[in-house]
Order: sequence, then structure tokens, then C-alpha cells
Amino acid sequence: MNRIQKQRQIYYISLLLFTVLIILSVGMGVAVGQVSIPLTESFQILTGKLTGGAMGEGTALSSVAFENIIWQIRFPRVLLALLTGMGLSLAGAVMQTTVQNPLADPYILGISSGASLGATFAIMIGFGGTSILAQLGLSFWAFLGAVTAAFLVLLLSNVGGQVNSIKLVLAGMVLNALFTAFSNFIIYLANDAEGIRSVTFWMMGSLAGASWTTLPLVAIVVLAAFLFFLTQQRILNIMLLGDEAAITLGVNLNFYRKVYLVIASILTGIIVANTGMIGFVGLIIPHIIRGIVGSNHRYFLPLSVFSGALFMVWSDIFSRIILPTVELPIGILTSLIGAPLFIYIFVKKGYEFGG
Amino acid sequence: MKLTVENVSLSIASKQIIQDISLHVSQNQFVGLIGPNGCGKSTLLKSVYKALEPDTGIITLDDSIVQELSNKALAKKMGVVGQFHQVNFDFSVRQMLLLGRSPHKGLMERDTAKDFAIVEEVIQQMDLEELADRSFLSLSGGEKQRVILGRALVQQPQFLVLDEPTNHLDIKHQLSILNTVKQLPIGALAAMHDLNLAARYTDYLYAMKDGHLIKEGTPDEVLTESTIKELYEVDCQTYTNPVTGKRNIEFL
Repeated sequence: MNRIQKQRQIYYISLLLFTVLIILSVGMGVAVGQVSIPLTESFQILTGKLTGGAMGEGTALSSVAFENIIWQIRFPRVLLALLTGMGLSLAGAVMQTTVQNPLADPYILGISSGASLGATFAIMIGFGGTSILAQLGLSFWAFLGAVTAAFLVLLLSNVGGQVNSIKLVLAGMVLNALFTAFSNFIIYLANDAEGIRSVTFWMMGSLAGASWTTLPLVAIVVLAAFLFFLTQQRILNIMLLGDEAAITLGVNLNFYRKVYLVIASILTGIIVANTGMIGFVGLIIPHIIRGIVGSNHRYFLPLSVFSGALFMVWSDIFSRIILPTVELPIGILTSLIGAPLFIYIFVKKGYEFGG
Repeated sequence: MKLTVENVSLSIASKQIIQDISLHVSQNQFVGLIGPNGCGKSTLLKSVYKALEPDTGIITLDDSIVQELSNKALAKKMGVVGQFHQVNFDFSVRQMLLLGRSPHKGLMERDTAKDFAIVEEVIQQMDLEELADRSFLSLSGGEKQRVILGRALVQQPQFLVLDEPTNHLDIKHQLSILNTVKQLPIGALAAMHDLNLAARYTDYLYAMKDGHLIKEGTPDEVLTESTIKELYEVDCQTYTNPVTGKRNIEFL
């Protein structure tokens, strides 16, 4: 069919466009910062490093200092931004579909409060300070908290038979309240100003912790989850129709829903552990893309993931340059950019959750 | 394909909903199921399309036992028009119809030209041209119902289950939906509320009350004043419609 072919063509062109934009943005991302390094030189250093010296490196201009800044600090950071954007958009898109609720975001299963509790615990009770060991400990505890919360929510909504979306959302809210209370309890009792600042800072999200040691794990989890969900587009589409209609189309959602939620939770947990809470990306990016291309996951899912990556890389760039001397926590920025963007689409397009 | 329901009972939360139901739909037959609200019609249909598991009894479609078929295998044989059109996310009508191809597709398999051709065929057959590019959420209840029947036809089923298919429809589309179903060369089992339409379109009727079958037979046999009184607790008079030659019911 002509119309369908045209649709596919547009889709592939936009994927290509996104890829090019993302590569350029990564280049921008490594060039911009407190020490400004010329764009061409940044690209030369990057391509040199990436191709093992075959291309670009060895130019007289590139000093060792620049190389270190780019390779050890900025590049991992930009990559983390990229992966975080991909992962959060993916998790958000999947959560919205899985709980059949357009208000869902990656943190809906109590993951945010679980991770916060883990982080609070680590900062206030466990490992104060800023040593590398403490940072690793923090990530570990945040991940543990996130995944524990998600599993408790799943367990709770599984009581009395089938998991359905209302039970999930309610269980998520209840555990959210409980975990937040625990966090506040710890903070209140500890009465530690420095610690409170650390917790607050952590909750606002940051990509500053990016390093080559933690990146591979994030990359593997994000890419594996992405590939997995790409194979599930038919079931994800059917999931939007609800349990009964899905059965008549030959799919028992109960099983798939659990699998998807577990995978999305682990994905979100890994990201939260590395970046803290970065809000809004996982909610609005899927919404915006749904608003433009509709709910067919064949197009919707990859485009969400690509635009999430792009959005995050640019949020990171702005967070580094928007204030002259300090870096803005990225969680603040994603909401600052995201909310008006969302309002615009909401008002402008007469948005109907993906028509 | 023929459907046989044998001695099926089902209870939900220890409340007996249907009890010892047996019915039969033979090849090409359009069989109706009538009865008051809450008599267990929907529950019976749900156990036929495997949304509910009966406590006892056996349901077979030709030679295969429905309970033992996978959901996917069943969806290839049986199309369902249910009463669940509540969706929170939007699809275009074409996309909605295309979802009917899902049971025939592997996980990674793409929609082929053949799939699109089947969808277009159903759009023609069901008179959906005007709706095809609209969004499903913007449709009226009756239009949604027609799209759902369209989706069931896209499944290319050999058997059709319909739960009050004419709900929300104006008279033109009530007749058109029933005509469509009637003309299909497959068996169909439909729960129906409109007794006159049931009399006009079905080949055989089962009357259900409080989870039991109380009567079965041709529409003329089942739609008698006494049975209708027993079922719905209303008085009526039945007569042969001089125009259609079918049984008609006038409520008093």
C-alpha cells in the first residue's frame, strides 16, 4: 500500500535524521563546558580515540589536558546522558503502555521513593563523604531501593489474582508514601545538614558521576532492554486495548505485563542508581512522540528512545552552560524545558494521547 | 466450524454464575442467546472465548478443546465482538483493524501487503470507508462497535462470538451488522437483547435465566408469550409479522 510505504519512508528518514543529530550533539556535548575546547578539536580527539589513532589524533593542537577532559570527563558524561535519555524514555513508554495509563512514568512503581530511601540510607547512615567507594555504595543502595520498591509493588498488586493497572498504580502510590516516610524519618533523626544537602542534590539528578567503570553496565542494560522491547511491539500494541480485548486477539496480558514491568523496573533502577532522579523525561518524551506518530509501537518506541537521547544530551549541555560558574542539576533543567514543551503540544495539537 | 458447549458450570468468588449449560452451534448457523440482564450470557460467552475458565464441562470447536488451545491458536479460529471498547490511548481505525491480523503473526513478523489487503476488504465489506482514517477515540459508541466487528472479521475467523452486537447502534447499523454476520459462511453465537431482531436473524435460540438454560429451539418455538413472561417478567403478545413472515413480539 502506497500510504503505508510512505509512512515507513518518513519513519526511516526521521531515524536517520535523529542519528545524525545525536552524533552532532554528542560532539557539541564534549566541546562545551567550563573549559571550552574548539568543536573541530573535540571531534578530532574523539575520532582519534574511537578509531585507535587511525584518524584525527596526533594533530599538534590537541594537548594532553584537553584530551583528558574530553576522554575522561566529558565523553563518558555525554554517553551517560545519551543512555539515560534512551532508558528513561523507553521505561516511560513501556510503563504507560503496561499500566494503560498515560500518566505513568518510569518511577510509577514506587521506584523513585525506593531509590531515594536507598540513597538516603547510604548517605545518612552508611557512607558519608565523597570518596569513590562512597559513590559506588550510594549507587548500589539506590538500585537496591528502587528494585525492592518495584518488586513490592508488583507483589502487592498481584494479591488476589490478576495484576491490573489500577491495582499497580494504587500499590505504587501506597509504597511511595511508605518509603518517603522512611526517608524523612531517617533525615529527621540524623539531623545532619551536610547529609541533607547531599540527599537533596542526589534527588535533583546529576550526570557528574559518569565514568568508564560504570558506563558499560548502564549501556548493556539500556541496549538490551531496547532490543527486547523492539521485538515486543505487537504485544505492546495489543496491550493498549486492555485485557479482555487482548485475549480475543490471542494474547494473555497477565504474563507479559509482569515481564515488562520487571524489565522496565530494572532498567529504571540502574539509571536512577547512576544519575539520581531525573524527572519528566520518561513522562513527556513518550507523550510528545505519541502525539506526533500515534500509538503504534513499531514507530513510537524507537522514536521515543532516539528523541529521549537527543533531549537528554541537550539538557546536559544546557545544564553545564546556563549558569556561568556552576552546573545546574539536570533534573531541574529537564522539567524546566520539558514542562513548557509539553504545555505547547497539549494546547497546540489538541492532544488526545496519541491519535 | 461447529461449537459445542457441554455441561459447563462456572462460579466467580464462590457465586454460581452459570450452571450445567450445554449448547451447540453447527456449521453456518447463527445461534442467539437471550435472557435478562445478569442471567449469565456474558459469562457463558467469556468461557467460550477463554477469558474465563469454567469449573466443569467441556467446550469444543470442531475437534479441538477450547480450554486446551493456546490463546493465539484460538484467536486464529474465533473472532469476538465483546463489550469492552474502553481504551486510554488512541489508534486510527485502520490501525485498529490491522490489529486483527495479530493472531496470525509471529513476534517479529511484519505486516504484509496481504494483511493490508484484508483490512481494505473488510473496510469495503463493512462500509467503513468514511471512518478508516479517523481516530478510534473520536468515534461514537456505534461506530466503535462496527470497527470492532471489522477487527474480528480481519482475524478471518471460522467462528464468531458476539456479545450484544447491536448495542448503541441506530436501526440502519443494527440491521447492517446482523446482515453481515448472517451472510458470513461461518457459525456465530450471539447474546441478544432485541427479541424481534433475534426472531428475524437467528436460526436457533437458547433462553437463559439465573445461570440455567430454560428453553431452546427455533425462534418460533422459544419466543412464546409464556417463555418471555418467564424470562423477563413482562406480558407480551406474539404474532407473525405479515411483512417479514417472522415471529414478532409486542410488549403490553
